[in-house]
Amino acid sequence: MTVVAAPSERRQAVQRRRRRLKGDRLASVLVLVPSMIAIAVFVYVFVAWTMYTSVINWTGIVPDSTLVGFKNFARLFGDSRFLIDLRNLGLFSASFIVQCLVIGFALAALINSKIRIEGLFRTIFILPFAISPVVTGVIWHWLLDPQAGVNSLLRSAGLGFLANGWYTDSTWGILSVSVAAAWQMSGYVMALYLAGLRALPQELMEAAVMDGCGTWALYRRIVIPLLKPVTFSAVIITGMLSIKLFDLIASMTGSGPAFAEDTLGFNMYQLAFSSNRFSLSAAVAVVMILIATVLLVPHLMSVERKAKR
Amino acid sequence: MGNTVSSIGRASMNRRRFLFGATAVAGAGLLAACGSEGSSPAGKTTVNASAVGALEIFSFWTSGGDALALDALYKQFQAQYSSAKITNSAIGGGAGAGANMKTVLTTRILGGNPPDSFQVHVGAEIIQTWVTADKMEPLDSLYSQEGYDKVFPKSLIDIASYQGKPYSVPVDILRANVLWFSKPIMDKVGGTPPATWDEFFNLGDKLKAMGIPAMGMAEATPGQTSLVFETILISKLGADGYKGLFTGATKWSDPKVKDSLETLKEMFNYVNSDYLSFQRGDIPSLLSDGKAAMIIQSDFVNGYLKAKKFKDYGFAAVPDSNGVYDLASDSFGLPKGVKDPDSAMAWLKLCGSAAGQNPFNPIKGSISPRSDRDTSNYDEYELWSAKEFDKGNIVPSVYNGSAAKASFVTDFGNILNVMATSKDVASVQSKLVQAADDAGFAA
Repeated sequence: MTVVAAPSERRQAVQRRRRRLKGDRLASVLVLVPSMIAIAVFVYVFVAWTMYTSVINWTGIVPDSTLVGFKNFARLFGDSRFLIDLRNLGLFSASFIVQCLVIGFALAALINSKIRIEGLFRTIFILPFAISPVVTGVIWHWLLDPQAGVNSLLRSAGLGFLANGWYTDSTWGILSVSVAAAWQMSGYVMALYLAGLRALPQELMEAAVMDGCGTWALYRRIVIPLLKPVTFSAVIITGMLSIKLFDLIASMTGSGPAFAEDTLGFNMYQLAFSSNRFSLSAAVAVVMILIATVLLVPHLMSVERKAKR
Repeated sequence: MGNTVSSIGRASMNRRRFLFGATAVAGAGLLAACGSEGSSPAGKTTVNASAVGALEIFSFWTSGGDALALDALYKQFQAQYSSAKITNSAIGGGAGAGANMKTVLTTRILGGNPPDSFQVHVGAEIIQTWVTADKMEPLDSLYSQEGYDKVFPKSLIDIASYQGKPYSVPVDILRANVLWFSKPIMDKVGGTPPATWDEFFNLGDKLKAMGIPAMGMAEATPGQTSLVFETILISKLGADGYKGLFTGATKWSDPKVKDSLETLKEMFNYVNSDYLSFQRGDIPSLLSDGKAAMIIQSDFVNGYLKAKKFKDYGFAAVPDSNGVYDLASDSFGLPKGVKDPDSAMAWLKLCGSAAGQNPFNPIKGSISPRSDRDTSNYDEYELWSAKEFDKGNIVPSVYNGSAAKASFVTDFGNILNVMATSKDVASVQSKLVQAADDAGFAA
């Protein structure tokens, strides 16, 4: 099975391989260096700069580099608007993630059931993902306008009791934004699930069906558990989007009545560009980074685990 | 003030225009970066006509009468200086008045590459943001050379000044505390525009019995409630008491501030029920559609209703205002280190002159601050507004950026937005006290 080479030949071969490796490695390092420098500067240096800005007292156009420690953070956590933002983040992400997973999975399951003109449906479902969030925001602003859109449809269908204030509700308004966001992102989650479904081992399914497993049990006992990694990725991606939410808010509702639709991102923008409170704004950014980190750690751990396996 | 009412929905509709503007700015920035550094024209007020060349002007006048009026100014400038090459860096949109423009402007000025002049509300908006940061030239010599002290009211020059020196040239005047009313509804209820708050609420009860909201509100985003509250503050505190709110002379914890909040709270019993979904920019349509009897807003209502060909509306001062004129005014200033000092000075002179203001204001729907203004093109409202303005009992508007620094204007809008939903007077007043502390009014 193995070809035993003469010792000298073998040494030469090893040396050749080493040289080649050296050359390959050099080339790869050279190719990577520009992007590594770019990321170091444009991501990490600016993250560090934001962290520094969050502990100084920059409250006008010109930076004031007096260190104030965690004063800005203390102020944020005593600010009712910021606390509403955190509450909105919780409400929005819970509602948005669940909608994306349920609708995304249902659409993927439907498309996977060998329907006709599958390609057309796939395109239709994924299309909203290709639309700019600003456009989505304007469209849904009108769709959920209490005097127009969905409410008019409900009223003319005799379902007037279902009509409500949507994003003008000063407590639950953020949930209407999550509907618009889910409309945009469900197609993408569908694509993730569809890829997952297509990669499932067919023999396992066939064996289950042969053993008398019904459709419901098939999904509940086999398909959904096997798709756990896909679900996990989808939660991470939609969770990240929830934290960053800005463009949809800016075009659809603004901060809304009593900050019903305010988000960390929108607050951060206003602090910096309409109030000139750059340090407070940076403090919001740091909180956003921390929340994102909390979300990313389990993801990175699972990637690590997979790599070890 | 149509310009200051850029609702978010509109902003997105203006996206193409914005992108175009942003591209123009970026291009201009590149070109400007290639030019040489200009000398600072401090104290220099003469214009070397042959040196007038490139001129770059920032504004958020991108649509409607705003853009047409700005264009009229440019035409005048071009007629005076045929060698001029004007770059119109107008940027629309953003969450709040001129938010997108201000973002780009900040970057340009901090990057040492200011435009030759920029549109800014007279008073705190320029002083607290740019003058205290040492980015603007004083214009006292221009004022004395052009004799502005003889044609502008002293109270206006006071608002434009910091430590005794004026920093911008007002080009238009708008009044913020105007009560606009629907004549058919007023006739139906058999009333007249209320002169006092008591009359207002009496009228409100009659209208309520007929199922008509007395006051139109629009609070889908922060803004309108704060403007209405500001006009109530003026009526309860008087001109001096109101101005004192921003110097520490009047405390925000004052019982009269509480009284103003109570009046505002009471007013919410007489407003349109959909006010939380109504966009501020559409508020005049409440009058033309017969959905409210009155609204409080500035002159942009006049232009809006005229454009809609709706004629059955009237105007009066906000109840109990006692002739106090709540001022909003657009002006132009001179940044330090501009590239074309001669062009910039020529522009400022045009902005302050009768030759520039007379064609500009009727198109913009505003009045000229000059006492020698040409009123031949003014309509009934503008004539009234000019007469009231000339009485000189002028106070700066918070909502329009003239009374207080940017962070307070934002806080004020946000706090009153919460008031519009919670109607909790005590909590709102304590937030106002906190915001005033933060803005350092007492200091």
